[in-house]
Amino acid sequence: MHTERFDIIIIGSGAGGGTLAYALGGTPARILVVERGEPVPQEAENWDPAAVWKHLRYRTDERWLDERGEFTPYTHYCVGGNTKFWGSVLYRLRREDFGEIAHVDGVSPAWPISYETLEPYYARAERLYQVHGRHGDDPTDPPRSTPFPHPPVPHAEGMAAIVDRLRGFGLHPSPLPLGVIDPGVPGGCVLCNTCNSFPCRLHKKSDAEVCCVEPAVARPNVTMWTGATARRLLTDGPGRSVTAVEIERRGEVVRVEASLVVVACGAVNSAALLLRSANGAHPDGLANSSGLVGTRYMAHLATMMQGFHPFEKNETVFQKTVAINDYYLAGPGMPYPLGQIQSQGRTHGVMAQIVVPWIPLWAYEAWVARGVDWLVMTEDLPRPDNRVTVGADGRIRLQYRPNNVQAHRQLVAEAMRVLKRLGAWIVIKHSHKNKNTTHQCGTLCFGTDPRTSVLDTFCRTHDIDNLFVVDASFFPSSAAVNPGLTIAAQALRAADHIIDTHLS
Amino acid sequence: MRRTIRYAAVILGILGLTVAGVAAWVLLNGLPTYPVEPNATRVDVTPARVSRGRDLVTMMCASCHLDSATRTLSGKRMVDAPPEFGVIYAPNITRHAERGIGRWSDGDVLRLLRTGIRPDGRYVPPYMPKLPRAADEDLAAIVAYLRSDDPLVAPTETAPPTSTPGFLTKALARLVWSPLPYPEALLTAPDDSAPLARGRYLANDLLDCYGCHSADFKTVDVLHPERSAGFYQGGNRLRDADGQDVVSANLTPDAQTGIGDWSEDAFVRALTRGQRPDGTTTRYPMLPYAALSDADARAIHAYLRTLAPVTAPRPAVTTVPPLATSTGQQVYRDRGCASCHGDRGNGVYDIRHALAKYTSDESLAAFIRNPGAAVPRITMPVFDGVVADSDMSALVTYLRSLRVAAPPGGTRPAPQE
Repeated sequence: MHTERFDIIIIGSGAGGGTLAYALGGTPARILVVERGEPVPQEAENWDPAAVWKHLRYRTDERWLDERGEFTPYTHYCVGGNTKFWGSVLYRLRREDFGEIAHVDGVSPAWPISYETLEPYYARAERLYQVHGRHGDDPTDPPRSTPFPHPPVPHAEGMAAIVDRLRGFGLHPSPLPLGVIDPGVPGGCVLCNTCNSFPCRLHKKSDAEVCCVEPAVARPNVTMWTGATARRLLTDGPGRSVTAVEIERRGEVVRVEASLVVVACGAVNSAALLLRSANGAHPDGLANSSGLVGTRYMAHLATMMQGFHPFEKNETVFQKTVAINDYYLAGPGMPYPLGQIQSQGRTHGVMAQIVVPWIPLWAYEAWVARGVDWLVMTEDLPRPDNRVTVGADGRIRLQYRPNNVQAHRQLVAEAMRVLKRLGAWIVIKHSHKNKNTTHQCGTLCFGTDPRTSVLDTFCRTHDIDNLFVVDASFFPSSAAVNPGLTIAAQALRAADHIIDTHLS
Repeated sequence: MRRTIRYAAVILGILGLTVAGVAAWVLLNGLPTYPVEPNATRVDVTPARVSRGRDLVTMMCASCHLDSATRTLSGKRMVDAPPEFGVIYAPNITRHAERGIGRWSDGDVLRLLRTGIRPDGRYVPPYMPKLPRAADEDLAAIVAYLRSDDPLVAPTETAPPTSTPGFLTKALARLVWSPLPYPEALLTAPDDSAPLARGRYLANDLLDCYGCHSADFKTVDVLHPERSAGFYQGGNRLRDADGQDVVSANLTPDAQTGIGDWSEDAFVRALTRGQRPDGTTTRYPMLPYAALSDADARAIHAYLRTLAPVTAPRPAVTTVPPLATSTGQQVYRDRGCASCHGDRGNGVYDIRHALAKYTSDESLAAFIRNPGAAVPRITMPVFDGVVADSDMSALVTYLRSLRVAAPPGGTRPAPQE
């Protein structure tokens, strides 16, 4: 084993790690970004539903365990991480999400920081990820110090008609905040129907690789190792600081020393890495004096819904421009929040065929050509028994039972009524249920009390002075909007803090 | 010989095809519809009827239709429906015009309650009990209450999803169940002057006691209750709000396995306050009939005493550990709280409302000991003597620790950094 030395090691290059690398790129620190995957090549298969959904060309082949056995998680190990496959819906959490909210099935706890604390970083993250949107249509929009950096992506003709009808129902549809680069401009985003769950062949979707990692590694002080997996973190004797990271790279194990280590592997893998790094000073896993590492795992309750009309062909190509947040803070006639309804990218026949494989593809294609696709999401609540653990062999085990099911059912019922009013003859529903690992968060919750949280409010571990975690692990509650922008904003905030405290 | 085999094969084949055809027909057509007989009955809403109706609805309708999130009869999932029946939701029956029954005529409500036919002709399977023999005046009271301005029936926009009945439900609705006949003559109820007849009316014709307390829902005869198999012998398997099995009790006056050794007062207490002579509470779905008058409760007892005692072997009952044990969570589970409130405290009714109302631990404990003192007609058992005094503070602490204590819908601003 040979040893190398950098000032800062960032493990992971997704929404958290990628953003942080960009933000620290301008400092004199020598930075190493460790990414276990490789860059996703720009190739024809990027936009091929069969390659993406049937042959799982970009998906990890890692198998995790759950209560019933093994499963392949919906996760991708590549430069940019899961942001390469996200839908680029880049929401700020609602102001209310930072407070405590009573839900039908329990309580969504308050965050240790307020919306106002994160607001300036949201504004920076929106500029960095080129978010297109408009303030004011959505009744839950939080206050902003600056307008959106770009105007909203216009609705396609069919969606504009739907938006008008939704307004007629008394709802408040709003443009989805989207991170795309120069939409509709020659040389920019072409507003295709292979956006969410597909990598952008043109590199015109705002993902962490395009917006952050590429400009960061162009700087002389930032190095990136791809195909390099962090196996464990090593600490000094008393366990107050991390001294080095053991990295497996091209069949060789390298020990890399650094004065600061940032873990950004995603909520599941970050917790797993801390647990795997248990040593004499930290017998239950690094930074785990609270016993909370890996617990409170959350993932949104999500159901895909498709309103089908046999005689109305859906001509829309870029469909994901509409959000309905009328039920975000309270359902109709009830004091509890239900969640969010948003239009999503067009379903491809191949994607639908995954669910019931024996129906021929042409039938699916005929079907999805007449459907309008929506996604409804409900907040998941933190529970200590929903958790990530690692086996003796280091394998990830995800123990998870969905919460807040009653609120989600109610939201699906409301969405069903809306789609029926829009004229759908049949509404198809599909949910990944407990296999859903997208929007994973909460496993290393942040807070002010070391007994009830793992990270401090700047995402530094309470137990170890030079260890930070910047991904969705820190979320004390999951809210019900897409988490990407919040991860990026908090990474920018952590970066400022690192510059102030460790680099000056 | 070969010819016989061939005939047998042909007949079997035809049979098989018929079965498959019937199955496909059932699957495709779902629940049947029936012609809707016009019903022009109009119910005058009088204070007396509304008051009687409130009593009946809290006892007969609320346990399924009361949504603890809205605190109205806006409906919810029937967690105790057997899974093979499908996913069943009790619908919104508030006065809301679109989501509830605000647009139904009085006759529409009466027709459904009597026969099981909705105004659109669709048949409602027996998970919704019907009242083919209840007195017209009692039904009028229910209708009057549903039309009243009581908060429980205030128009509520929330409505659960539509039920998706399973194949079994559809098949039974096609092949076995059918709408009940609408009574041709006016039905009246015996009054207090004839306690036996009144008790029999209440138990068999109005409150449907025999439905759960006979041997099996499958062999219950809704038109002729006495013909139900194992009439009042209990043994019917039900489920509580926490998913645990509950076996209905033998209500015949057998001394060993029935209620033969219960005094009248003990019976009344069990029926109206939910506390049995052995110091345990009744469990969901047997909620206390707190709105029942003392005379009516005694009348039911008098009627049950006339039944032939039947020794029905008692199925294994969950053994309750001795009093004064243990952690609040154990008390919550063992003493029957979870049976209604589920493992999170928001099952049949959301305990958050009580936690917010009774802010001191003493007042909450007093409420648990005797809920009826604070809230008349409440369908919660009396826990005085069921939860030992020494266990009460652990229970109260556990209830508060369920972290559902915040006022519903309320948001607290996040603390500043």
